[in-house]
Amino acid sequence: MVINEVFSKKTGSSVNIAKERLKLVLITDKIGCSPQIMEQMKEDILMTVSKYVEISKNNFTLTITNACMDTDSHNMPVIVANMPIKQTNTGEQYV
Amino acid sequence: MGEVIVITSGKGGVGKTTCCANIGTGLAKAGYKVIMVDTDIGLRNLDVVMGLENRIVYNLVDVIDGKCRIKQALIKSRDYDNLYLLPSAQTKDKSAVTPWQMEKLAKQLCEEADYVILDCPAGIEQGFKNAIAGASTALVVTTPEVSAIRDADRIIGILKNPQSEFNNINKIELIVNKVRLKMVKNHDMLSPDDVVDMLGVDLIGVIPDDENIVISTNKGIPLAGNNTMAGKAFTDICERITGKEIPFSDYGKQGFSVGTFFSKLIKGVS
Ligand SMILES: Nc1ncnc2c1ncn2[C@@H]1O[C@H](COP(=O)(O)OP(=O)(O)O)[C@@H](O)[C@H]1O
Ligand SMILES: [Mg+2]
Repeated sequence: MVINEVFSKKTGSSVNIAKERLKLVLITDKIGCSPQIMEQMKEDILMTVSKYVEISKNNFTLTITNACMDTDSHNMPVIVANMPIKQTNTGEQYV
Repeated sequence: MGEVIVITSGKGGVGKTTCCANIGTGLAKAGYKVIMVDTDIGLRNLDVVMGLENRIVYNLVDVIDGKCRIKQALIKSRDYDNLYLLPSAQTKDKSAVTPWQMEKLAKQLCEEADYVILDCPAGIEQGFKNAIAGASTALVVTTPEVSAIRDADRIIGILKNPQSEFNNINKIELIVNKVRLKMVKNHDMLSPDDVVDMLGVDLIGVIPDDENIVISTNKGIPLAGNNTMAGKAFTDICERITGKEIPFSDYGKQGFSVGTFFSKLIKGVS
């Protein structure tokens, strides 16, 4: 599918591919460049999710990648939050 | 007091030194007094592109260390009495120069010249900081390729941030180099317009990928002002630097649409 795209001028010239890749890489470079903003976002997400479930703070990671599983939007940057759950609000414990 | 212009890019091999030699030569041809400084310590380059490699006695580090006076280290070009080169040193110690020293030197040089042009090394390390320290204008060079544009974006981010170390840049303009018209036409190369859209800075010139550049580098004679595609493109850049409104359509820009310029040229090519 990807190979088709690279070689087919109809679905995407190499310029269009370059543009898509550039847009993504420039965004992720910029977001990646500001650890403060990432930290702030992490705090906010943690606060929100913690209303519903208890999260293991120490193992909480937040990353930006371009590997989106949804094939329709494979060129979009995605934020992946990894939040190990300690305890649900129904009382089930995992740690 | 002259203007201090740094030519920078992030990525290596995109044409900083070529642009420096040709813009320096073009401005000298137009009658301005120009001093070019090779700030790439350890990787001296501008001297050979200018064809002045046999005349070097003193270098940048000698001047900064006080081993000679500035005037002793400046090499006059073969063709213009108003064009000078301050060559870089081939020392291994890249930290031989500090940004404060470069800033002071640039100030002294711009007392003497209308334009001081600094050829910046690749990267964003010490050499880059040195080169930008004394400059007020930055010309960012890129090619229409993903990797070069990405690095240009990093550089522009640093230059636009007033909190960056040693940053006194108040004007940033873009040169798109090594453009191949046929490939742009076939949608196999980003157009200068595309690059401008991505980077969000004003365009000051578009240089075609031109084999005459290789020939001119072989000879050590810059081609600015010659009757070649690249030679004319450099003349246009020089005129724009001196404040002239050169429409990109006269062989360049119409309003701001490089597209017009290219469609014209492409018609000529095909
Ligand atoms: N517009 C152009 N057309 C053809 N060759 C070019 C052009 N601009 C630069 N080059 C070549 O590309 C190479 C790298 O250029 P250079 O100016 O040394 O880059 P940098 O200083 O950014 O490392 C050189 O061999 C040079 O002759
Ligand atoms: Mg160089």
